[in-house]
Amino acid sequence: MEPSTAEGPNSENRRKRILLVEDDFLIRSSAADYLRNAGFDVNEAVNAHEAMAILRAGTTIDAVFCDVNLASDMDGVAFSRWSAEHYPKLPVILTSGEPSAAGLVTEAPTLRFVAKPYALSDIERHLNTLLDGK
Amino acid sequence: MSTNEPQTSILLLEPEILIRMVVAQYLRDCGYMVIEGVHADDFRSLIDSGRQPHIVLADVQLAGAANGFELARSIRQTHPSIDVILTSGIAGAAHEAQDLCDEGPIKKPYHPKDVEARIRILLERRRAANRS
Repeated sequence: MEPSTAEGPNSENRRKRILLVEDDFLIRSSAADYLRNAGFDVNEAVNAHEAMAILRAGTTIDAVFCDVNLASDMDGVAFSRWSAEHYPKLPVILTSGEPSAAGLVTEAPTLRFVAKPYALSDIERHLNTLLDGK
Repeated sequence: MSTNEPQTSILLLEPEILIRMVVAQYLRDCGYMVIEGVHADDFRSLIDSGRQPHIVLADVQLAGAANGFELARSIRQTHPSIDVILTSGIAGAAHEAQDLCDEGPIKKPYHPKDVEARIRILLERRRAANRS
């Protein structure tokens, strides 16, 4: 048996894999810990370019949880547009501490906005709702 | 490893995403608790938050103020109980990850996978995606 990798078999029983995009080290590692303990597999990206590289490498991702304000030339809103273009069925949850960012998010069945500060249990609930509908 | 012992934690500092992704997954499959970072500064942030990793596995080329060598020297002075392992490039990271897995903490039910080959496939796939 091979170790499970980012490209595990697409069986019904496999754990759902979340792509977590967050540039703040402590926020990212605590959110990743929480989601792993909640039963998800988590891939961590520190910016939109890393997130794109993970998807382009063919990694099976079930949902994305992405900060809007990222320390790079591409923010979370731009990433969500790229994702919607290339992976239209991939659910994305965007988060930001600036309520005005919600206005930048175009409503779509696969896109949600959650304001900061959020409870990680709420993110877990949103992910489960989005993934149940798949 | 007894269930009473805390899980062995590794701070993996690797700025190349596809190397970090595969090595982190591999080490988690081997039973380690892996914290992912890209900067030398991430070590300080972790310590300041009250968490101390058992092992730091860092590439010599890091983003931020210090490179891997400087970080290793600093950790040896301030936290001599932390094992620091420096790597360089895909082959170095893969080799060290496989060594760590051979040492435990859990016995793998499978033959060690070629981490390096897998990273190279992903890099090639990304290059192909960028060309198209």
